[in-house]
Amino acid sequence: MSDSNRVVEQVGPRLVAGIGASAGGLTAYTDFFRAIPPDSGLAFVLVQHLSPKHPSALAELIGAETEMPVVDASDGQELAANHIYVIPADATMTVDGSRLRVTRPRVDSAPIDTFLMSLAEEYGEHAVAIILSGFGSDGALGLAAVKSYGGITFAQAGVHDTEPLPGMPWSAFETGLVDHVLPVAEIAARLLDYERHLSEVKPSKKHDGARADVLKHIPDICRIIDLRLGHDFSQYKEGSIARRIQRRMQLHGIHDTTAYIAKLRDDREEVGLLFRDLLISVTSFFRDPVAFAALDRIVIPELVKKQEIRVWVPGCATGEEAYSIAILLREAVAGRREPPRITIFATDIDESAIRMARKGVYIRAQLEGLNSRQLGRWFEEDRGSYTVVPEIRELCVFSQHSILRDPSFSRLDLISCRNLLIYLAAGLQERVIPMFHFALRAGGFLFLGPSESVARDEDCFAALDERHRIYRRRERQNSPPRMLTVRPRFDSGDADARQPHKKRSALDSAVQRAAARFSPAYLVIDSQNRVVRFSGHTGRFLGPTEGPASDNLFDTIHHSLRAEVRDALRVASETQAQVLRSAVPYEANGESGMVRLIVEPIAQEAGEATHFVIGFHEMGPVSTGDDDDDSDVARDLRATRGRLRAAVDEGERANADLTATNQELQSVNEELRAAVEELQVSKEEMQSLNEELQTVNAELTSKNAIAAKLNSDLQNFLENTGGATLFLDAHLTVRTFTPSATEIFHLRDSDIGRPLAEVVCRLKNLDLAMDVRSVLEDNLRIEREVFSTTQVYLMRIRPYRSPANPVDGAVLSFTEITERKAREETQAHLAAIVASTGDAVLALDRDGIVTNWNRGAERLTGYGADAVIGKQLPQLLSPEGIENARRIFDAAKAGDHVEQKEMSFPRPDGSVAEVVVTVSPVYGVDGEVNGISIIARDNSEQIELEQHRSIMMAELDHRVKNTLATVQSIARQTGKSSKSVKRFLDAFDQRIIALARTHDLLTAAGGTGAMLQDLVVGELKPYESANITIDGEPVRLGGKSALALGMGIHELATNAAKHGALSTPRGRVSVSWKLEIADAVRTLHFNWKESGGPKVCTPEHRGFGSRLIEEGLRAGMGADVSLKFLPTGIHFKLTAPLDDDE
Amino acid sequence: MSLPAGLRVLLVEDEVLVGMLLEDILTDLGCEVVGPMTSVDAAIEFASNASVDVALLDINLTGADAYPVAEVLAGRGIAFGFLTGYQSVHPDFEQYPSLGKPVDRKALEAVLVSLDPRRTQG
Repeated sequence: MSDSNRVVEQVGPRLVAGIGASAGGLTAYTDFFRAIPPDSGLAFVLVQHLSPKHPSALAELIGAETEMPVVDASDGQELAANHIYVIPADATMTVDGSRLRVTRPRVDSAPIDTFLMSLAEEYGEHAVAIILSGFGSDGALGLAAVKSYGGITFAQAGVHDTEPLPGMPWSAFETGLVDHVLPVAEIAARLLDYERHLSEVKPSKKHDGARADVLKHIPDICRIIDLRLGHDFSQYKEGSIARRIQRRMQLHGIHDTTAYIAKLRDDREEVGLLFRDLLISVTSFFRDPVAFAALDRIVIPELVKKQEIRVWVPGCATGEEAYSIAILLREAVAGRREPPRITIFATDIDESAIRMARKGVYIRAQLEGLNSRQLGRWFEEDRGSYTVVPEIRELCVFSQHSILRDPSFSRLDLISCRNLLIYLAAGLQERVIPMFHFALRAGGFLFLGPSESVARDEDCFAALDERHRIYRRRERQNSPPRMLTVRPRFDSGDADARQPHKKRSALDSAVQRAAARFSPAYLVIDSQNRVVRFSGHTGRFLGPTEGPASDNLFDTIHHSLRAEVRDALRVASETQAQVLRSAVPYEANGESGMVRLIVEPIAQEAGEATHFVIGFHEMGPVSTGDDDDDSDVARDLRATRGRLRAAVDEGERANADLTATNQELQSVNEELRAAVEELQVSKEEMQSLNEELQTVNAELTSKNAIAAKLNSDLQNFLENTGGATLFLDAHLTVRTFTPSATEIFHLRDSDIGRPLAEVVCRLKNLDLAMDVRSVLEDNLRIEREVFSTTQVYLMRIRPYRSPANPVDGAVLSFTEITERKAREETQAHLAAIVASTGDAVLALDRDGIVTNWNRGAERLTGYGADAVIGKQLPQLLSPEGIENARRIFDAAKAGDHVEQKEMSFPRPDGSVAEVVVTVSPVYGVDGEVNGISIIARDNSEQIELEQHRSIMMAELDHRVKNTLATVQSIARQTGKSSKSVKRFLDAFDQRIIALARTHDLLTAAGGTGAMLQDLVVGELKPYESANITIDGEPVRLGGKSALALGMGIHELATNAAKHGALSTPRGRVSVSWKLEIADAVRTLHFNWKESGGPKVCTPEHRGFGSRLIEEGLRAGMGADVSLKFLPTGIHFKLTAPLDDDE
Repeated sequence: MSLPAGLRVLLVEDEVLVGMLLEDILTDLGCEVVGPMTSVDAAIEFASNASVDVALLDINLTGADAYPVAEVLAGRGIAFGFLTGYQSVHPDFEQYPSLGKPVDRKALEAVLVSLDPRRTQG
């Protein structure tokens, strides 16, 4: 442990746990902290996933459960051990170094993800992600980040359960990256175990975090994985493998590596989990932006010149790199009329990563490499998560594929393989690069990660930008494709294969050792008889054959030695032992000589010899002496020698022929080999193609499954939706329809594909074809009401949009609105009645606030609707009215109907409206009284009428009594002058009748007056046959004058009939009058003159008639009256002023 | 019961026949009748100047009412009563006796007796 580490240990927490939960997670929090001791050495950060507006009392509530200090997090705060930090409301929180960063307001809707991602980056394996109960999926991506940086992850299970809780814990679980699914209290316990284990193993760690004892056991562990799962990690970097293994050990609290290996042997599931952990990768969009900028500048412009672009992204993980390249390509071809066909094969060994890549859903923090324009253009945001748009998604084909095990893709233009090679050991890298060379087309590009290069294979690739690892495929001569299908074993012991340089120096020393024992002249050949070494002084033994230059031994060595060398080589090869031939004769440059021939096989270590040393030891010239001693023998010998030479020459010729044949066969063989290699290439291409097809097929299968589900959803939707919907294609033929559509159109299933024009429609006055065409041509939307004989529908016509075509037909939907329409009409009718009635109609809600105020109300109260609606009605009433109104309204609110209640309503001008109100409760849809309706009628006219009526009654009473008093008077006067009861009755009757007659005239004229003419004619009517003349202009008399004069004329007429001119046939009565107008004063002159009757004498005493005429008329009309009893007959003269109304 | 004989009575009544009736009754009772006056103007003039003991006023005189006459009489201290077809008189004059129509001779006589200035003096 270094000093600096110790300092950090004193102040900083050993682990930082990010805990995510929603507002409902309070119980989970408190249970958790109850199980954590106050001196755990950990720091806890609580991130709540709740509405930004929601104020949080969390700190207070948790503070009650733990002795640890609980603080609301603030910007720049240093994380300390044994503290709990709570995210403030409406804030985004991250970690920067060991400090919290708090920014407001909250910008994204996934605060847990955001926090955990920064925690993962800053704290690596010291980060802990804990997802407790909550709605939604916040936290899942952050948890994945913590795991991929080596931290530990937890999700909450139910109390007695091993299943994660629904919502956030479940979403986290679905990433496949949760280490433990446990109830809250057990999470706490496991976390403490983990912390303890981590501090125990710390001393045994090297500076890169790998433990020496783990490193030692890596081959064993790799072998177990290979055995169980068929994946070989032996070529991966040991340090990173060790760290992942340590992490698994920490999770299980296993301290000893051998114990963990034992667990791996017993627990098949743990092998799978370790495998998953080994594959975890960290990546983001445009990771290393400068390198991507270089790619965009150097490679992309070249690529987009092509008709077809094929890209391979091996080790694509969750797809960010593949989508980044897709975005670059898409942006580069934007606006092109015929864009190139782009296919991006993105592969990874990890099936779950591929699943996430296919979804293409990311959170804001993963998209930081993108600018806002790209974010808006290529992603669809939905509540804080971003989905790759289909335009980009469809460029990428994702599949599970192992770069080490499966055949490669081919004919590629770009391979982007970033940060995969670093996981591979050097030996494997050497194989991968040539494979990339094979997979790329001529001039194709290779894009590697910052710490990767093609240094060992410079003949394969030329650097375009060494700094950013961009390379171009170089053309190589005679480079047969090499596949990586050969898998060396860990225990092969084939050291030479990995150490070619050492091999060469070993050979040299072996040869030197062998040759040192013989003469200096020697040749070294390989198993193909090619000469690989010459020693000095070999020239004597060489005699190259004519023809093309060759390094073949038998083309090089002197022909006289060939037979002997060939034979010796054969033997040496068969026996794998040295062969020695003494005294082999040879000829060279016209000299003969003897040589000792040695062939020595050379094997490297064990196994068959790969090389041979052929040594020549000179033995001096052939002896030609002793002719004398044994001439016969010598002669024979010479003869034999001659024959032998002839035979040898013949043999040589035959041999030369065979050599020629052999060469021919060899060239045929070469051709065949070339053909085989070509076939091999074709085969591998076919394999690549096959692989590619399988990938595409898998992609299509997954799309097909989605499409089938969508189709089924759509089918169910169409069948269950209430509305009638008809789908037409661009040629106005029926595409499909919902069952309800048959109510409007005569349609059967067999009508699909029929033109719309042939379908009978029940709607009236409708040119559907024209409407649909206008939708198709002008891209309009039509919405209007249409009618069948009994129903009304709301028809909507909208363009049918498909990805390929913005207007690919039309969708007609019909919603039946007959009832709604009827309701609307009724409502309009009622509204018109309310508006037009003279009565005031108003409505109040439960609080007495005015909600409706019609024109009648405006007229009656003097308040305009604008001034009243929204106000309390009682505010408008008089103080005593308020109490009264409250009683009435309370009764109505309780559901009682109040009829005909009189009230006063003060108008704004100070006058008072007397009203009669009817108040009814108004029931809401819930059956509760939610307001009251008031109808008020103006009552002042009614009151006036009442008053008028009582005045009339009093007047009538007065008149009747006056009339009775008049009758009383007539009776008395008549009684005074009557001699008998009979006479009294006759005269009384006549007078009453006359009085009544005058009343008739007055009533006929409206009770205000009568025409004099009518008065006279009426009174004289009984004497029609008599000689009467009536002459006068129309004069109107007032009521009293008419009554008085009427009675007077009656007295005159009855007197004339009894005693005067009307009592004899010869008698004559002349009635005349005229109107004199002088100085605006009208004066009536009235004359009654009798003649021709019996002689008249003045009566002895004045009767009622005379008195009435003389006194009554004078008093009643203010008239001058003269009544003369002339002998020829009575002459009555009246001069009276007439009032203005007469 | 002392008759109202000898009283000088101002009669205000616009109905000719009713006036004749009252004149007859008053004459029968031994009173001296002044009038009948048929208009308010004429009645006021008489009420202001004439020497009468009591007055009988019909309230309704061709549309006008006789209260101004009553005020003049009250001002002069002349006792008076109302004769009316109405059931009530104006509240200001409720304390004065009133007679209904048709005319009840006995009631008229009693009113006259009650109004008789000689009775209070005597």
